[in-house]
Amino acid sequence: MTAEPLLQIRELKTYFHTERGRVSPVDGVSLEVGKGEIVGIVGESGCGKSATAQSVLRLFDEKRLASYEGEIRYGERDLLRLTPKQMRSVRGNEISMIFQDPLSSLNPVHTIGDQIVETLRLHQSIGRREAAKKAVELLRLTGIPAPERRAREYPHQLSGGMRQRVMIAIALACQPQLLIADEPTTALDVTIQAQILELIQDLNRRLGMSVMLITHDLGVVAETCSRVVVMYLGQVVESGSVRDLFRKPLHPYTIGLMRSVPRLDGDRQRELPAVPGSVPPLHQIPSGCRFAPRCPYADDKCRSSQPELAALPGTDTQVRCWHAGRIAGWEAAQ
Amino acid sequence: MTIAKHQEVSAEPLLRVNGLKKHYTAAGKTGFRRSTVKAVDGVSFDLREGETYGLVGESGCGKSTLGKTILRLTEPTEGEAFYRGVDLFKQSRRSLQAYRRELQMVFQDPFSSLNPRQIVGQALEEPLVIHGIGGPKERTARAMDILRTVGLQQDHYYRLPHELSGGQRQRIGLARALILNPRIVICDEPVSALDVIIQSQMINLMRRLQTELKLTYLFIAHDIAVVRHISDRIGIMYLGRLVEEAPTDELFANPRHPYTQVLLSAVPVPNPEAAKRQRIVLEGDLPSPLDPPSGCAFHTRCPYATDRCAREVPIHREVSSGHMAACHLV
Repeated sequence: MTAEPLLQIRELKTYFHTERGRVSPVDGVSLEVGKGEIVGIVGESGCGKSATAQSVLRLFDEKRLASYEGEIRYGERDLLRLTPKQMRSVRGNEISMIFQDPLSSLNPVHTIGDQIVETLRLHQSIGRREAAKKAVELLRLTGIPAPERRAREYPHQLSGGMRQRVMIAIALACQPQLLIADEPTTALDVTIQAQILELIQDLNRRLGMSVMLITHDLGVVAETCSRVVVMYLGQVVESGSVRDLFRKPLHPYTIGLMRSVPRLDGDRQRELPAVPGSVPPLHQIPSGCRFAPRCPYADDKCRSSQPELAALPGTDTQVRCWHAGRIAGWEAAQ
Repeated sequence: MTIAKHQEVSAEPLLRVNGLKKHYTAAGKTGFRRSTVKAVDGVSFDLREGETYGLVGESGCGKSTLGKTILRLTEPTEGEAFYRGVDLFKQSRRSLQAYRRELQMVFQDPFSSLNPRQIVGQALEEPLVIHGIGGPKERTARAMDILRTVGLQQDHYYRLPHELSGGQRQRIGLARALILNPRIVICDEPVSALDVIIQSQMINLMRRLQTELKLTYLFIAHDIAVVRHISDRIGIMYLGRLVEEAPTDELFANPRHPYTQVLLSAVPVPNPEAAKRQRIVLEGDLPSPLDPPSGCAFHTRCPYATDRCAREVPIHREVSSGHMAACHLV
């Protein structure tokens, strides 16, 4: 870990109280985001990557639905110990978030400009006119052509890519140190995705803003992030530098995930090596290692006791697998 | 495991689409003047027996409309679609029914195409009922059979759609198309809603079934890596037109149309050590199909556009054997 940590999540547990009892979509997650770093969080639907991100900002309804355990250290503070009022000043001001579907996060009856102004004036004591000027600047920063005109338009008048730029502009309004991007390009076409990823990387470099990028697309991680965290069923199963992890994935789940993606340089004649089965629901979590029922390496130990996330000696990589050492050796021997 | 491709692809196409147009009339911006959306604007291609033809393009390019129009789920504005020598567009509703058995469709979201109150078995038997195939017992037997074919168990017969996972629902969508023993299956984004591991299971299944059941696929998708993996030939669409078509390996080795080049370079590659590719980042968005650019529709975003591109529509022509492109500069 080279960068100084900005966000440290330790043993975070998020509980949802449902009709079927208590489930924990986030179950003991520890991860760090360094200053100026882009960290990717990957996994399939239901792995808890979005729930982790939303827990950082405590977006779940704590009165009825959710409760948290553990620690989310941001600078000197533990976000889980803040009062609702203190938390409000963190959201959008110090940590911002953008979502997959910008249309449902934008208010359809207000202009783009007004929505940026609202964010600005909520967190900073500046006048209307100044805020309006700043809003246009922000739109310009995100590469929206003719920002003065666009500021007077409504969300439905913009394309998907433009709306995501607007969301980014709103997120940047108060110059947050951390941007949490939850599948920001999943709803977009590839050529537009390329533009948005380019923009996020550019803002990261220019403003030194840290980014937590949640995605299911390994290609996006490989091209934008410096570190990556792989999640399965609410837990981190592997984390490390993007270089190491893509060169030598160690957790059987990571290996399976990577091999199952068709690649542009892959052999088309071969069958895709698919991991068998599917992710079980949260109220049917297998005992022992959660991946064991689908894992080619699983033995009795895996089925009975759960491995911890452990650092692999001499590396940055952490793996939650009883056989990580062996797999590392096997892979090296090949 | 290598899958031997079963077929000698025959020369005579199984399906020939010729000059297909689908235009919609929409209210103009003011609500008074009517304008035309040219969702599909003169597309021609052949589907050869036993092959998978991949159709790629960004949202709004008309690829889904094209698929639906071939089956006349929406009526074409102009053009022809010859299936085994018969123009599907000239058939009456009744005689079309007979052909529908042989041309089936799989949709992206099976959840919205399945009746939430109908058990899987009923959903599977429905096509048999519609086409008057077999008695109740025989239909049930076929439904049980097709469940096994798509890798599900017999007890899935009694489940309701909401009890199934996304991957299982998509298998039901496929089973429902296959139960009629079609020859052509038009797959509209069949795996895009699935997680990568489920997606790979589904792709493997579809390829295996293609060989076993001698199917011909028209595979419509936006994920270029997936389309590359499954297709023998690929057509690239932009704003209602085919801009390039080639055998898969040829297309990737030698993309000729600037749009294809952009599209291929925009796909993120899961290999951080790949020499940073020269990613061509396009300026701007897809133009509105309500008001498409003059000449070559891509000229507003094309890095190589000249004056001619703004004036003249390029002809879709063969640039090398089996490789078509519609660009003035090729």
